Amino acid sequence: MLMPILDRLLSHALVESIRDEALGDIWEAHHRLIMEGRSIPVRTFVTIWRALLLVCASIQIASEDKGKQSKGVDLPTHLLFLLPRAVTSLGISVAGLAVVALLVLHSFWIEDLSYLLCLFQNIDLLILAFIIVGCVTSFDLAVGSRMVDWVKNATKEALEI
Amino acid sequence: VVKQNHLKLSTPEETVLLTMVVRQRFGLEIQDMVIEASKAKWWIEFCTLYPVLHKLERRGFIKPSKSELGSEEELLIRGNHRRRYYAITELGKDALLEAEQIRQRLRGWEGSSETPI
Repeated sequence: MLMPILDRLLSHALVESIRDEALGDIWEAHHRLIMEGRSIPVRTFVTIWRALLLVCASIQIASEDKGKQSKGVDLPTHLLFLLPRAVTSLGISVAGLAVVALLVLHSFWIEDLSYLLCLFQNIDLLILAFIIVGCVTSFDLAVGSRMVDWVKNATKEALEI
Repeated sequence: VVKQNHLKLSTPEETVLLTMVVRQRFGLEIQDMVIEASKAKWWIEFCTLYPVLHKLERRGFIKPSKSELGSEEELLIRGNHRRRYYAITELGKDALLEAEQIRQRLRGWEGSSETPI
């Protein structure tokens, strides 16, 4: 049930160049967890975690491609707004760091769950990235489109005058 | 124009290239190899693996093979997505060789006699 949903979501979020292989790999990794007899909550957590990592990989690849090529990126259009503005949110980064600190402390409390712990290796960067992306996305949706409209109208009026 | 450092490799890039020396590999297999070979001391996550593969491919160090249709069971396990195997190219082998040579020179390096201690 989980995998078909994730497959559909990720097929919209991943860049074309890694989409098929990455989706196949996450399916296969999920199947291995079933074969290893992992419980459903662990399987769900690990697979969703891996799906988030794939989105991160996708954003990174699209970002690198954008830097290399002047003609643009093959990231789906509805995700393009994730790329350029994240670095500007210094205040949000500080909030993200606070959350990271809490998570690191929390990971010490659950150190007996070693299998889950090893997955926390990249959590600081990932959580930080998602907090930034989430806030910037909200900002973009709420304010960005209005600003674009405002600039367009102002330019149009200026040209008409 | 060929840059002087066109064979330079980062640690993840070198690690991924090394997994392909014996034969071609696919993404999840590379991840497993790194974990097993390092006795779980190294862990190359998806967020590192795919950008590294993409970069190595772009630089011509690896070449993806044509996606072959796997067995019915494999396709079922992989949600009808095919494996994409990567093989190291001659340029990739040169890059690995250069990295190894630099490492060996550094190991035996005694430093310049003119350098003050």
